[in-house]
Amino acid sequence: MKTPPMKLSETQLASPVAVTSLPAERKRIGRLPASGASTAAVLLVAVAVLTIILQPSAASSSGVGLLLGPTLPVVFASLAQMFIVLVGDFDLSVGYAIGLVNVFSATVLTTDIWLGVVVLFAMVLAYVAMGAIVELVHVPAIVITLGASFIWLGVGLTVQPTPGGISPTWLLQVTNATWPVLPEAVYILLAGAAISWWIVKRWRLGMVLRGLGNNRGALESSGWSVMRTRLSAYALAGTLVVIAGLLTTSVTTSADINANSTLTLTTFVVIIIGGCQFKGGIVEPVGVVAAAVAISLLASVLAFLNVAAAWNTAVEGIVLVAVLSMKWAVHQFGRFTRRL
Amino acid sequence: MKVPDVAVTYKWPTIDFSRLGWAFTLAAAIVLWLIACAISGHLVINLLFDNLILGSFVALVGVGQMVVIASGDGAFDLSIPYVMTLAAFVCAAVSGAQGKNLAVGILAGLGTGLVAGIFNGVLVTGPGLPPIVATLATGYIAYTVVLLMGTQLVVAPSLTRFAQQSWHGLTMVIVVAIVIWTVVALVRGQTPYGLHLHAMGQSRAAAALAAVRVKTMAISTFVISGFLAAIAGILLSGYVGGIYADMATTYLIGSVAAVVVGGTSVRGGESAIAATIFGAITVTLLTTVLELSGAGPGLQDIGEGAVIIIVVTVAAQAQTAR
Repeated sequence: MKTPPMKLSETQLASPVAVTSLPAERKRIGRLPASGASTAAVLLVAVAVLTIILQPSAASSSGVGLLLGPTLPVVFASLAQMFIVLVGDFDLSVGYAIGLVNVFSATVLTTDIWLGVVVLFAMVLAYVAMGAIVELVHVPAIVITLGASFIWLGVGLTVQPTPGGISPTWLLQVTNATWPVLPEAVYILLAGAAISWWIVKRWRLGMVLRGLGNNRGALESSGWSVMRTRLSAYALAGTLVVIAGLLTTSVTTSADINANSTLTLTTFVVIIIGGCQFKGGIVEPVGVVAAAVAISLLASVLAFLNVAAAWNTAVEGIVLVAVLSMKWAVHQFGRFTRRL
Repeated sequence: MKVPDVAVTYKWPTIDFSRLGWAFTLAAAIVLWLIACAISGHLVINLLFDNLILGSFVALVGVGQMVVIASGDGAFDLSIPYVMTLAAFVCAAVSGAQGKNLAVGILAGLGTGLVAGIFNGVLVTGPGLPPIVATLATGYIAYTVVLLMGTQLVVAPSLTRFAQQSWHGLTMVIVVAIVIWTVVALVRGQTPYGLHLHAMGQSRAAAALAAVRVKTMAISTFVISGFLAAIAGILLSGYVGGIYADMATTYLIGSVAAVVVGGTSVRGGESAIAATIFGAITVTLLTTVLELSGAGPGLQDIGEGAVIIIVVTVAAQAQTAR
């Protein structure tokens, strides 16, 4: 019996992906602290408890809204990074790209909405172009995205040399709307997690994206276009960058291209804690959202503890090293107990 | 059926490629210098010397970056600017305002660079962090230490005298840089280290099978990079005569641009010291030209970013075509 070629290629592609991701997910339930997504959950609960102990009013509905609102840009920045990591690349430009969207949305978008929309759309296209160069040139994406990050910074400084600008009023109305039962930020978080989970785990495109990160050769030989797949990943990331930039504007109500310079490291820390793998193919959208909220809440915790602002820059690096050492210790402990 | 690309490809002998890179980059540097002269109206030798000095700083850290990149696996050292700053701060703090303990201060600063390099290397080889993430984390931790050390520190006058002294335009920086480059070139060309470095850059797995101690080698590349960054940072603080937290921010893109413009493949497995030096001078001249033509800091950033992308694209195309 002859099988349609398309169908065959899909099953061929699906099998290596399914084999690598499914048992890993099952195992995760068995050894809790060692796995990625649960690290994020543990960290989130710990940070949340710490926040409530330090500031009991944070447990109220408005308190939750006030605390979660500023975490949204980090969440969407991390989701953008996640789609790049999913196909096996790194995006060093994500911080300045979001800063640039922040600048555009506090200047051009406020004065001329249609021009603003065009510019933001161009930003997504710029991301697609970045993906095209990475695929065409076959060099590590790090170099291309490092170069791009300075272009974003330069454009941002040229458009707006000093911090300033003003958020469009409609943007503030949209992001400060009152929703039933829970604060709006919670719904945005849940939507971000649910949609990206669906894209990665349930949509056909998600499967192909995982395929590219997992086994490029298999994807190519089963007839999928690697170029189109990579461009889709960069387009998704670009869209999320635009969302993150708009949310930044709504949180800060102004623009500063340099405010986000450490955001790139934050996204990498979130990616690790969220349970993704840098070699590509394996990501956990829900873990990423949880980790992003936890990491940005950590800044509030430090503020409650009256820690000097200078420490904020290092906290992520220290959390990263701490989480890795913990994982390593758990891993060694696991090996030790298995030997007994 | 199209054969899928394999990450490991055979590299042509480096000598062939580096000779090409040399000429191109030198030509680019001369063209940029002539443009700079045209803009300012007359042939300025001083301008060339100023750029040589600034370029030497870039080339010092650029050579460190080159060693890291040559080790392959997408390795980059993004902590360079922060390590430079931290080394300068540590040196200033230990040597004191009057420079009583300058020698100890310089040793402490260099030690800082070594420690940062070891930290990077251990993060990469131990928990298996991607180099860019590990070095970014190290960088931000270093930056925090710098911020906590405060703004009260001053550079010892003796260090300034040392860094600024020159013989007919041959400034201390250039002398130190030439010594370092010679040492790196000798180690790279005349010892097994260079061979192992390129071997692991072309294929980690194959190098490991050929008894190259891949992990130790990886750590050593970061240590070299950290050490060179510390030297550059201490000299920079002396040459400028002051230290501040953001004194070295331009050296991140500068170090990568020097390597890329010099023609070293960012895929690893090869290195070219002379080309990297000329690359650094070219990048410095480019910034000067942009500055002279009245471009703001924004356009300078765009210029450097665009140069990296364009050069990488063109070089990769040329390599594929061959």
